[in-house]
Amino acid sequence: MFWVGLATLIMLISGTGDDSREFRKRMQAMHEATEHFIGDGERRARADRALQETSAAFLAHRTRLDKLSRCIGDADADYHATQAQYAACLDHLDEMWAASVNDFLRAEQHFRAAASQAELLQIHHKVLKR
Amino acid sequence: MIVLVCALLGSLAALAACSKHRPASLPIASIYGRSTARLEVTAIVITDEQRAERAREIYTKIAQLGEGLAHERKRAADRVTELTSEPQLDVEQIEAAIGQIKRDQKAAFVAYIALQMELRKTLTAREFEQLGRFD
Repeated sequence: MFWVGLATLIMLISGTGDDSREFRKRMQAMHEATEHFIGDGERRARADRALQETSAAFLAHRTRLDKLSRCIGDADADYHATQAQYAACLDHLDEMWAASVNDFLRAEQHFRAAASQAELLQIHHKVLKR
Repeated sequence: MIVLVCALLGSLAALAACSKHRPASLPIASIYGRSTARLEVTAIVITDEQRAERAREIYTKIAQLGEGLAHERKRAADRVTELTSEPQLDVEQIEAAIGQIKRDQKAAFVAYIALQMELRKTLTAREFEQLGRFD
């Protein structure tokens, strides 16, 4: 089974997505496979938009992580930083993950709605079984 | 990983140079990079042997927290991968796996805060500031 948005989410969880070059390579392969295997122009355009949503979800997640990282970095650099100052950095962790999971699942649903089962399998073999 | 390789080389110059290239936007990578970079220079910055050793222990524990969290991330990713191999997408199970990551992150961060507080008790403001230059 092929899950475009979730494959990206898994990359982020595992750390593979820490390297944005890996993500770009994966997205490039997805775009090429979509172009190649989805014959119908209207559905192909929808699948492409879903891939763009996936990219946007990835960037949004990285932006949230960047904010978290800077918050911790600022506390780390301050000798007088308090426990409360550190704890505040994680105030939005739950929202951060909820937003990311939601973004990726929505992109997932859009992609799956645009491609047939047979096309999904072909894309799966082309992209994930490389 | 780049910082780790540099640390193995044992070269302070290499550490300082490499730290400029690590992905600073990622919390775990940034924390790991900072702690390993400072770990190598505690003996230079802190003249008191006992406190230098304590600071080293703290930075080592911080680095270990990062490594432990990286291991848990990998496990969680494997779990989500298993779930997405099922014919039907079980969103609840996926959310449960994500929930575990959040709990792991929070637990690691609580431990991290405690270590940071301990660090401030161990170091003077001047030593703290000097170690910060090795980020």
